[in-house]
Amino acid sequence: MKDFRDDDTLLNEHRKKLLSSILGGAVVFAILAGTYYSLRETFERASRDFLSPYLNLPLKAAETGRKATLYATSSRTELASALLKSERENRTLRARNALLESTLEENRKFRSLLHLGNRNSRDNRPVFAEVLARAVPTWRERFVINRGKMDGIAPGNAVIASDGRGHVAMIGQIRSVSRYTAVVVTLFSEDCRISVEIAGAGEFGGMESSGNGDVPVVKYLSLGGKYKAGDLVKTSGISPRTPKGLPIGRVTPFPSGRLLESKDRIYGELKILPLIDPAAVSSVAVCVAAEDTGRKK
Amino acid sequence: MIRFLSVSFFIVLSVIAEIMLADLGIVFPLIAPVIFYTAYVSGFFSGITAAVAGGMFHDFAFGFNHPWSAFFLLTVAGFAFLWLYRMESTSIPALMIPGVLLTILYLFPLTLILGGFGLENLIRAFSDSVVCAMVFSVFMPVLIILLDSVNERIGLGVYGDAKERLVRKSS
Repeated sequence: MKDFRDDDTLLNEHRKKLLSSILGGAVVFAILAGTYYSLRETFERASRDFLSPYLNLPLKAAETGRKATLYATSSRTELASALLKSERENRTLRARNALLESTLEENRKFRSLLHLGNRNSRDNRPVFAEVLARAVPTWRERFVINRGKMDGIAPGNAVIASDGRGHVAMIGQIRSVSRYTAVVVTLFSEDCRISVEIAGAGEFGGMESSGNGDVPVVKYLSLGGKYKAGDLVKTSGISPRTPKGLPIGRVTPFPSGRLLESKDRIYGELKILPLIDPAAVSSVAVCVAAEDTGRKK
Repeated sequence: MIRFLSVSFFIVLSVIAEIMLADLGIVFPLIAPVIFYTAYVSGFFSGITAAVAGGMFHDFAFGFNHPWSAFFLLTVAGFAFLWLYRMESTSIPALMIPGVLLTILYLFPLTLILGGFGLENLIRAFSDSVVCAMVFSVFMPVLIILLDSVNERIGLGVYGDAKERLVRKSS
């Protein structure tokens, strides 16, 4: 009888030890995880800010080289005519801009008359940036740009690019910022999630990619929507830091040939072909809220 | 202090060079041989610290979410200790072997983790590693000679002396 009692006591002690070691392990893990996450952000910002002046050097050198080549290969007359041409273009663009500003003002007034709030009055200004660092394995998914918190950039800001033929489209969003740099996650990254509108059908959904360079899909769409291949997909404006109406891509069929794939008969998914391939982009513009544009000190 | 500055300088230089080459689409993981050299010449503590700090610095500069490089650079540092303790030869041409192995220990798994385990990325990781292994088999001895010449000038231990120092320390 005594032996059995001893065995029970021993078993209880073992259980207590096991429980305390599990609890101790969990506490140590929580402390380590907390330390890692807090240190990670600090180290991330410090690393990129430290490197940014050195990584900017080749960009500056390339620009100086381009200028030197232009001066060396063009005559004074050619340069003067190019200047006149760009001045004419500037005047045209300024006139168009003034027209758009007046339309925006008119829109603001109408919205206030209809008591619709001032969602669209939140002006966005572009902050132009160059790609600073980009790893080969994640070439299409993420890159670092040479503008950051000092230029008013914040996580969630929309990143747009041009294909060089006059088309402008959203290619991703800002994931994290340091003082002089920011990380852009593109439409092909699993970290990029955008609220979108299918222009032709007037339906809203959430766009995301499964990562590893996979083409993005729009999820949580109504199964009864009238979708067509080639429909334009644009930002819905629901996300606070993303302007409304930025073009993103076009609806394209899945490899199975179907346009809309049903998920558990609850919602549908559409495959999207982005208008601009982020892999080919070397300079971008970040849409920054006007009140954030001033350089922060 | 001089050793710390020297190691930091080489890590920063290798990361900057790697980023500049990556911008041109060239995969050249310069940080791996630098960590190998640091672990071999400067000892256990310096090697581990350089691997963790260098890996974090490298990955955050590239904008990755997590410092995977730090983990794989630890295996590079571990391999450097193994090379120091087990390998009898300290000849520079023998460094062609770690030059090839570094790509297997560092570049191949890192490319898979970052780019995913799909067939396309598997082929890419394999082809990048093969090309890099060939280049590193030549580059590794050259880099060690370069780093040795710098370390010799500033009065730090060099690759050729590391084994001798280890024997002296243990006796």
